[in-house]
Order: sequence, then structure tokens, then C-alpha cells
Amino acid sequence: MGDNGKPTVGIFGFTGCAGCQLNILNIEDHLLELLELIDITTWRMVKSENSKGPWDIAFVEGSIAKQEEVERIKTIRENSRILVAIGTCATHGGLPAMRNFQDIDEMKRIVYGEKNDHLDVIPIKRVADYVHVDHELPGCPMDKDEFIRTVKALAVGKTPNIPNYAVCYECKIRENACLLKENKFCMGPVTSAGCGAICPTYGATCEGCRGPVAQVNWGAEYKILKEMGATDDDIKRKFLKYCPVVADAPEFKELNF
Amino acid sequence: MATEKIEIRHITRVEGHGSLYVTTKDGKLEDVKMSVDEGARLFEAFLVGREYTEVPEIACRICAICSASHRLVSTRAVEKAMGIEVDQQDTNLRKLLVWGEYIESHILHALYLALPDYIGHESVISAAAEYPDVVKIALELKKLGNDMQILTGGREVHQVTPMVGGFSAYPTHQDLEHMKERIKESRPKLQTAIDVWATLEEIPFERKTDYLCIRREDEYALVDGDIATLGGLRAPVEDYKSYIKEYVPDYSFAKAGTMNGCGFFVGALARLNINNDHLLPFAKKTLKQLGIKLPSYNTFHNNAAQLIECAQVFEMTEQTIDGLLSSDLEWHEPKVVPRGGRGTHIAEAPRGSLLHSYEFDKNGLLKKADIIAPTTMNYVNMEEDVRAFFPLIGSKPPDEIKLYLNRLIRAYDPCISCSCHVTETSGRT
Repeated sequence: MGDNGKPTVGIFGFTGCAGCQLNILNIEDHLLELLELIDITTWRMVKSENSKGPWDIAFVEGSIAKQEEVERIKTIRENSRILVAIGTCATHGGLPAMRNFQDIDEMKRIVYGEKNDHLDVIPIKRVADYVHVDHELPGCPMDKDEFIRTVKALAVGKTPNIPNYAVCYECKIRENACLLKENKFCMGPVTSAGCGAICPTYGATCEGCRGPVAQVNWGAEYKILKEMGATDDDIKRKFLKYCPVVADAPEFKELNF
Repeated sequence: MATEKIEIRHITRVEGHGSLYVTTKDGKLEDVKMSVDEGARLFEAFLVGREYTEVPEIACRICAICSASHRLVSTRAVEKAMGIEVDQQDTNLRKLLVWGEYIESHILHALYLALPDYIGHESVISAAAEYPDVVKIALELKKLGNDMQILTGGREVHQVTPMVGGFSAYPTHQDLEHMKERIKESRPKLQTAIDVWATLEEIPFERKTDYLCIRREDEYALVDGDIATLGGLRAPVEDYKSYIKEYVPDYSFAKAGTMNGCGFFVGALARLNINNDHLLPFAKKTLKQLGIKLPSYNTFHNNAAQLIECAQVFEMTEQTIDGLLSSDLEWHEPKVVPRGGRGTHIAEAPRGSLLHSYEFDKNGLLKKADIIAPTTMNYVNMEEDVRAFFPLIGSKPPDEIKLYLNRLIRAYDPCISCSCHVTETSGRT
């Protein structure tokens, strides 16, 4: 706790687009109220005077994409009571982890040309691959209402409630027409909810940004997409887009692409 | 006296991780190195092989603060490659999306991130206690920008509805009327923020450099136009490689943009310098009130220029909504027949010109991508500015020097995630 009796909070960005940190700033209506509950002592994106810890709660955005970040996340973990990974880059590696499937040296050459020897590039991993993570708020970007609920819960010592059912559940509640029935490649059945099924609600397919739902049935989704005319390549591309790290999951390997 | 090093690790109140290293000898500046400490994500490489429909959705994840601009520029580059024309209605809705981003991003930078320096605070959070009214207005204006993005794009960060060939959903007439009302009601709030800015003392610093943005003869260009510079260049976007050179400086692996071998400036100040003949009355009045003479060569004016552009965007939004209200807003399914080809588009993200250039195979799979982000373009100019600015502040105490250098880099509103292929320098000090 800080001197003012409020839990101290550090917000940290690793490799990513800064969208989850931005979504904290986007809590325009409740930002000042949240600041009544917590004392943000470190947030480089917003503050110039930043504490070196310790923190009661650390929110970590982004994936671990260079060796220097491995050391940094360990230091933050050692100095934090609770560590929350925010956004799909932190929870699942995110879109950029697609680069893990390709030849890193070739990719460096494509982007930087021949002079690239000193680039600190390691395979992109999620935060939990290096340190213990207490809670995960997936999503690209992280859902700001879910963040508010999490802060409120943690501030009073409760465990945040993060959904582990499929997007379809929330989609039905919103009374959306099923996009799979319209022959659109929707990932709703295999994706974790918590977003309010925002994409299908706007007529766009779920792209799986929150990662696989608990007890995911990829086999059934694979079959539906095949019947629609998708190729193995189409399906694989889709399944691995936001969470390429699932390629290592046993359920995924069973698909035998 | 010996060699001294001033290290700013990291520059605060900017998006992303960057550092500045300045070396002096006998009090005189010897070397300046801007470094970008973001991990390399290599977007241009892993976009290869992706389908044309998902390229804009992936590319907008380069940067959250400019996600609407990345989405628009990427979508237009794909559409140009596929030979798709976009109708007036969709063009107007895309404009509203980007202008929402302008309001949100400019307010975030000018009032949340830059303003605290001018009023002696370390952050907007600490400023909130002393200036609750100003901070409340900043929150409300930022929300307005976000709500415009939600109205047209479904979400404020990484939009949902924009598609190659159109949108997955449209706003209703009623939604648009409501937004027009909110813009009208918010004018006095923006005016209050401008009035506050008019009382601030600006740092007097001038350095002649060239400025680049897009330009049109019929309006203040933000989403489509030719490449233009203050120096008088006019060129179609397809010719960008003849003018904008990217190189890897020999002291780092950061890519940096140059024109004629020198740095150049992109951003709100560049647009005001080049396109001020298209300013509408509210922005003209604001320009006058803030006492900025154009062309301005003071990088710090970029902060005020963002507020002037907010005034401009307010008025442009009202006009564009009027145009949309007179159309039927009948939704059409985005239909595209994929084909091979090349497409290049440049537009103005809030923090400067942004370019995406693609090549697709006949099945619509991406073969090659080239993306040049605003901070890449500003990179060399930032270092040149530090060199010119340092003699003015070099005799101050070290903490003050660091503060001033922070302010100078911050004035660019740098977006370090955006410079997706600018990377890594740790250990090169």
C-alpha cells in the first residue's frame, strides 16, 4: 500500500502497439474514480516521475520479444504482489508471434536489409512463459470494462471474474444472427468470450483475438469451415492468427493439418 | 573539461519506448543518438502470405493510437491493388473515422502528455488536482473523438467495421445527427482548452527544415492527396521512393527517413505550414488567437498546431455529417474480386504522413509490403533538432537539460510502436 492507503500500481508496456495502455486512458468516464481506488506510481507512457517499485499490482502489456525484456519482466515480477497480463500479446503472444513460424534471419533481412547482425530478436513469447502471472485479460485490444472490473476486484482483495465460455454465448445474448450460418468464417465457437461479441454484433466475423476457450473443440470448427469450402491453409491461418502459440497445444496438434 | 554523456532512458509521456543519448565535450555537443527500444515485430515480413481481406486488420495493429489511420491507408492500398473504386458515402464515413482519431489523438498528446510541461506538472494525473476543470474538458474531448471512432468503426482502438470495399455495418441517420449535435455542443469546451493554451509561454526555438504532408487543391487533405513539401515538391504517391529515402544509420539499426539527404518534418505543423489556405473559420480564428505565424519553423508549435487542427476537424466533421445525412445510408456488402497487382496509399495520421505499399499475387495473397510510419520520417529531423537546440540549453543544470530535451522529442508526438521497422539500439551508447 502507498502512504495514502491505496494499493500501488505499475503499468508497463513491453513489445506491442500500446493499445491496451491506451484503453486504460480511454476509460474517460471512470478514470478519475479509478484513481480514487489505486495509486499509479509507475506509468512511463503517462508520467515523468516513476517509482522503481515495489507495487501491489503490476499490469503488463505486450509480448516478450527481446532478451532485455526477459530481464525486465523478471524484475517487475520480483517487485509485484499481483501481476496481471493485459491484452493478447501479453497473454498469448499476439499477432506478431506469427513471426515465430518463419526464418528470423530471413525476416530481419526483409525488413532491415543486410545490416542486421546486432538486432536483439528472440522468438515472441507470452509473459507467462517467463514469470508467474496471477490473472490474464486477453483481447486485442483488452476490453476496458473488463479492466475496470478487474481493478475494482483487486483493489478490495477479490479475484476478478474472467469468462471461460465461448463468444457464441455472448453473441446469442445479443440476439445476433449466426455468421457461420451465413457461410462466414467465424471463430466464435472456439474463442473465449468477454468482448460482448463485439465483432459479430457489427456484422464482422470473430477472428479469435481473445484466444481459445476452455475445452476448445477445434475439430468441430475445422469440420464446419471445411464444409464451407475453406482449405487447410485458410483454416490454419485463421486459427493461428492472434494466438500463434497455440500451435504447440496438444489439441491443435491433433488436427493434423 | 572532459567528455560528458547525457542519457535519457526513457523518454516519458510518449507512446512506446525510446531513449536519447547526447555526448558533449568541453560543454559543446559532440554526438546525438535517438534510440528506439521497442522489440522488433517485423510486420512487413509476417504480412507476406496473408489474404488481402485481413491485411488491413493485421496492419492496423502496428499502432493503437494511429490504428484508424493504419486501417484506412492499408485498406486504400489494398483497394488500389484490386482496382476498387470507393463511393462517396464510404469515403465520408472513413473520413469521420479518421477525424475521430484526430480529435482523440491530438487531445491525448496536446492536453494529457504535452500540457503538463507547460504548467509545471509531471503528468496529467498530478495536474488533475490543481486544474480539475481543464483535465475534465480534456477527458470529455478525448471521449468525443473516441465516440466518433466507435460510431463509424465499432470500437475506439482496432476498429471492427472497416473492410476492403466498404464497411460491415453503417451508423444510422439518427446516430449521425446525434454526433453532429455533440460536436456543436463541444465547441465551447475546445475553445476553453484553446484559451488555456493561449496563456502558455512557448519555447522560442527555430530551425529551418523541410516539411512534408499530403495536399489537395479542394480541401484540407488528411485522407487522400499528393505528396507535397513546403519546399514546393508535388508528386503522386506512387513516386514516393524517388523522394523519401529510408536508410539504416551506421551507428544503429534504426531505419530513418530522409529527403535530399536531410531530415524533414511530418505532423500537424507540416500540414498547417503547407495547407493553411484550406483552413476553415474556427481553425483560422484559433491560429490567430494562438499567435502563430506560418510558416513556423518552431517544432514546439506542433503542440498548438494539434489544437488548431482539432478546430479544423470539428468544422470538417459537421460539413461531412451534413453530406451523409442527405444520402440514403443504404448499406452495401463489401464485394471484392481478388486479383494481383500493386497499390500504394499515403494519408495523414495525426502525427504525420503514413504510407503503405503492397504487392499481391493473383489469388490476393500479399507478396510484398512496405510501410513508412510518421516517426520513421521524423527520426533524422529529431536528431537534427536536438543538435540545433542544445546550444540554447547546454548551460542549464543537467535535470533541466533533460527536461527540455524530453519536451523537444515529445513535441513530435512520436509514436514508437508505429516505427515498426525502427528498432533496437541498446548497447550502442
